[in-house]
Amino acid sequence: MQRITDKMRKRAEELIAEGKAVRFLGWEKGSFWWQSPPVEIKEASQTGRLNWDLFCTANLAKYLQQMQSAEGKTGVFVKGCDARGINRLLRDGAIDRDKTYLVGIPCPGMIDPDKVRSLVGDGEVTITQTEEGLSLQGPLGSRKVALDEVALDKCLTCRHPEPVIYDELLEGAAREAFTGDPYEEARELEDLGSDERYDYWAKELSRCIRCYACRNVCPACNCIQCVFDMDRPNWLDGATNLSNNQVYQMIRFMHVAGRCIDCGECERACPMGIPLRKLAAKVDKDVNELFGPFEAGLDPEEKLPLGTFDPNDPDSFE
Amino acid sequence: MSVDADWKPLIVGFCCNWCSYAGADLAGIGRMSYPATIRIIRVPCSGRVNPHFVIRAFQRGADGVLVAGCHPGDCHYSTGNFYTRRRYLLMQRLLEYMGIEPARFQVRWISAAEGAKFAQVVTQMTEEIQALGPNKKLRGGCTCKG
Repeated sequence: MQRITDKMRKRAEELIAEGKAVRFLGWEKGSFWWQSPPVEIKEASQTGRLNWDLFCTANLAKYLQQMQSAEGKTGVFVKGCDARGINRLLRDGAIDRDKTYLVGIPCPGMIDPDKVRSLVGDGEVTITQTEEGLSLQGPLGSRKVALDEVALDKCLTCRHPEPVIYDELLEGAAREAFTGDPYEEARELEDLGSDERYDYWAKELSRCIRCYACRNVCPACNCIQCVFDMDRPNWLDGATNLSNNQVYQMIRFMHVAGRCIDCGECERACPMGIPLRKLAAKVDKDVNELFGPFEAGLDPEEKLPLGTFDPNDPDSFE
Repeated sequence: MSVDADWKPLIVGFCCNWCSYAGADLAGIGRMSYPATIRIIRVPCSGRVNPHFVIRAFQRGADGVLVAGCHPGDCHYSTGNFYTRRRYLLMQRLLEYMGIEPARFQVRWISAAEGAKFAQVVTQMTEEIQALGPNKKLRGGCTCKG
């Protein structure tokens, strides 16, 4: 980790000095052990703030959209999911490739702080990497675990831990790409009856406070004006009630259908802990089953499943 | 669930101008009878129907929603209904996943010559929804007219 941090700082400094990037987006160590929030480095002397650890979860791709009006190139560090986010934004014409400089980092997978808390308690926690895995120390004692025991769910099913687009790649070991069934949880829900499924989602979505954090953080939600911010027509009013929340989430996932890269940012950003990836997985699963194998964010020129058609598509509508 | 015997479902039907709306017209001209449960909204093409329209209809009190368009390949605008087909194949499954009974949302291809099919689709859909009872799911939202 420290080795990669050093390399990140060095490369950012060099690139800014060489003029290949005016600013850099990366992560810095936050106030708490479980935080490594995004940081914007504006000059070479600040590169010491950059940090790489197992909490660099935030997807930096979305921040590039705000940098488009700024002058000069923006350097960005990209993990596997950030890189797919970049492809997503490039495909949508939301960012300009000529204004970005991408430094890829092979991703070992990120830690879910809640899983750590459940093992060693909440409070001051120290995590050290050992050769076998991680050594956790917290209020409830210390534990030795493998990274996968405390990794984020989205990392456990990550199919592209290596960046798929970059200008240069830092050395490092990526986790093994997942090859199993990514839709297991969605299938479990599908097996329930209509009313049970309705109750499940009613229970989850009644907690939604419509803070729109899931939308703001999503690299697929890059419309300049979002339907949910419009008042003419007023597609959906602001009242937070179950019905409006259901409409919001359903429409949002229809909008990102075939474009979601499963970076899991919506679920991470959700302050109410709503399992949004179960909705994303369902839509992604159907796209794959109905219109053929497709993974979003692998190619900046990709044809989007809902933006195209095949005359021989399945037809259950008679 | 006990259902009031006099209760009749309310179905919102989005019919494309070129085929299904004409199909509905033909059903009328041919004096075919079908339940007066459907409220038709004429749209230029089934591709015009935004998923938001469908959900909005449910939110504001529809017991069922029908999207009807030309048969694939017969679209007046050549390809509109191919997009509709992809969009609603996905949407139908998403609604089901959220717990909406599949019978409440249907998509049918009805040509301008298929008046009898239109009558039959409405009759069948009404029977299916009649059996399910009033839709209480997704209902609510803002009560103002906006």
